[in-house]
Amino acid sequence: MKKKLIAGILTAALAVTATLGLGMSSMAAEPAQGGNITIAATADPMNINPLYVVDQTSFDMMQALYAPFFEIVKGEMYYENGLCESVTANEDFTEVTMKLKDNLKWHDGEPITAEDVVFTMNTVVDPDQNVPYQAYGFVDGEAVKTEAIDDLTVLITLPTSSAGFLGGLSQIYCIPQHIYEGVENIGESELNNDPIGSGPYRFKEYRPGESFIVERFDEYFGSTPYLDTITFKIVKDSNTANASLASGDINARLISSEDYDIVNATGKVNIVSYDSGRVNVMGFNQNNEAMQDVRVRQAIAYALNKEELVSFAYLSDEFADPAYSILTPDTMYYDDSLTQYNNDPAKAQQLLAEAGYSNLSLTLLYTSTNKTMESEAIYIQSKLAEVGITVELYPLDESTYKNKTKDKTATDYDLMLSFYTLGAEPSLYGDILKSDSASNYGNVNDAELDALWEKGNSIPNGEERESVYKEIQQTVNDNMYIYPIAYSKGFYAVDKAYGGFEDVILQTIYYDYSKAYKIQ
Amino acid sequence: MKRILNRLAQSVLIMFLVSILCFALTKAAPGDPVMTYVEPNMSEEYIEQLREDLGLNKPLVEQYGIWLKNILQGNFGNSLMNKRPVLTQILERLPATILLMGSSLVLSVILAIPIGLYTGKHKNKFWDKITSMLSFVGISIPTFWFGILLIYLLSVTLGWLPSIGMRTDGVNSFWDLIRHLIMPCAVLTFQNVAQYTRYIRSSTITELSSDYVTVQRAYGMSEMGILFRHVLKNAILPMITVLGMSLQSVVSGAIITEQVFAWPGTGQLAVTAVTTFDYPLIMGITMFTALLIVIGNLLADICYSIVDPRIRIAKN
Repeated sequence: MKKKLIAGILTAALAVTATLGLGMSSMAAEPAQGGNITIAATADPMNINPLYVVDQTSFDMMQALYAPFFEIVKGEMYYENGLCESVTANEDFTEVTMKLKDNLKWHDGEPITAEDVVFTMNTVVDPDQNVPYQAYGFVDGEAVKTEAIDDLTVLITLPTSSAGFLGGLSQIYCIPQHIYEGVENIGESELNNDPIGSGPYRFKEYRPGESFIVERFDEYFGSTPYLDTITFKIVKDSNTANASLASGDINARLISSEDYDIVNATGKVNIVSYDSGRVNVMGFNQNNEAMQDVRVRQAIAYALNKEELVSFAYLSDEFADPAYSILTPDTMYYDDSLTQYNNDPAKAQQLLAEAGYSNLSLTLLYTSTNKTMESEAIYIQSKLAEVGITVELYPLDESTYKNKTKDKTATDYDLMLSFYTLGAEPSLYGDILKSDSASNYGNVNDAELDALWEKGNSIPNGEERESVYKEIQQTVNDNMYIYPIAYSKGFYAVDKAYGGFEDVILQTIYYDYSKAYKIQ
Repeated sequence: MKRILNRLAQSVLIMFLVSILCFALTKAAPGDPVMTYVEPNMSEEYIEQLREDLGLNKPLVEQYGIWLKNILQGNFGNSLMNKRPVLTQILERLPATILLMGSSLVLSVILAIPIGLYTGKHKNKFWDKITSMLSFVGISIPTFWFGILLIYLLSVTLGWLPSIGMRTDGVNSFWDLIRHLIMPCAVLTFQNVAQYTRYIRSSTITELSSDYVTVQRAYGMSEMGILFRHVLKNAILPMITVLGMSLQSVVSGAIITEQVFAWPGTGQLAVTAVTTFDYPLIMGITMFTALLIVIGNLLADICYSIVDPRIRIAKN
């Protein structure tokens, strides 16, 4: 699973083991103080510096070492594992005031102050430092200004009003000024190999190809972490990882839906399921003539049976829910009353005839290594054949696929499967549809829609903003710019000797490891 | 001596050609190192800057020229992904790989010689047939499947051995290392022995039917004496070539076996390098492997001329 840095709020319904008919014994058990948990990682970390994390493994490990400023969980500001005590904005959303908790310490014992926050924000917006997610420090192309009011108070001034800014801010993790000050290229600095963080665990040891170990930080500001150490063990082969979970060499691991039954059958684990925040979709490449015709796009939607598609590709109804909006159900202003294109082959054929297409032949692009996408593609191919559309499959390896979709002039595919994870702040979803956005893979060009996205991002929350995002969802649905397929779930398999993972998984890929414990 | 120098010159040329070929192939493969970690919310400018920083915008010939110049100065470059020096990464993986591959190689030879001699001597007898069958199983069994099978049997079901890695974290004993080594080493050894046995068996059969053996028999020498004092020496000659070819594996590792047992060796590093299109790392590992193949062959040739006078004389 690739890392998706999510901005925004999520109503992560942590549908726990109970809904899947599994034992709840771990929840009632008493947590023990001490011990180690071994969590499987699928690769070596690339860069553990939180501002430069680009891969999933590093992100997972980094969260044990660094505390965020705050998180946004279930639509609410969440401060428990954050450095901030409060974050408030003025009425027109041009000034954000951050108040740090008292007595915060870096892992080397130095105090964490407002100066560290200022240093971090300045690094983010410094073009020479080349921070991958520098966009979080910019509003409308202009950098925000950060200043320390006193030791524990920081004021961020935005160039213009932006309701989406807090979503980005929650993604930024503070780095220590006393370590990185004056370093020319922080991203490639040797200092990153010996990270000094602010989180519940501190760096102990890294053995390339073997393990990354962190130990409890006793001066952590939150509740004392239960475990003495967390060992991230690097296991690339998923079959081996499943076996190791059964043998007890690994205690916890993210699993895919294909692994679910195998892992569950061992009887040694509890499986915690959670909303992955991911929207799986099919896009239409409007560089091609047939795809520009709304009737063709609608015909394709009518030709498919979404429930059938989801249960075929995602193996079980419990692993994913059919999606009808481009937003996730947790996103603010999600509309659950959109017109559904229920399977109707006759209507599909009629629409195709009206558009003047018969014997249409289309190419479907997807990632070759993604089993779910492959199943989706096979289903779509056979279902569209029923209405006389021939689909040619076009699987590509991940990096070639990304290059292909980023190519704004590509015409060698008509349909494409993809997914995105953008969080609970609706403005962020503009990324996939705004005509000037790099991630507008369908090459949609709708000036009215662009104007709606702009408007939604610049007005404060309220009825007006709600109506804008409802209109956006309707426009996209009526024009069938994107065909949403499913909201998929994620699964964390945890050895029955351990507990607390319902609280460890804050949402999607955000973890608070201090909550994991060994059962007494 | 002159021959050896000549061979050395050839080796340098081979290394050069290998580097060009490998570089061209890596670059020709579809895939883009930058795109392996780009996410939708990264800006276009950042991606462009990244390409520039990594030198990926330069013409291919220039990229190769820079790489060659660095390598001649002993600089293997830095990995595109984690920015760490390629040489450091290879060197830190070497002990694990040498331990695994070395121990399985030694064990394989020790096992294969007596088995090969015995089965060659008792051609088509009961134990020969059993060994042949096992050899074919060993040669054709997929490593990943056999490995997983062992893990399920010895780790999951019986709980005797650890399933993954090279050591238990926090434990630093030799016995712990051996316990981790047993399964991956067994998988590799089984495969090697299966192959080596076939070589030794067939050369034993050939030697046993040659004239000098008949003469020895006529002189009344014991069968054991013939086998160990005369046949053995000749029968293991092909092993020199086989071992020369295997020398590189001691460094390049066993890709699948290391992957299955999460063994932290160079094989796993190679997989990572290839899947992320990390060309400095791919080049580094390939050059290391190529170098050892060349050295292995050279050593095999030299060994031949030492142990087999026929070759020495033929050349002179």
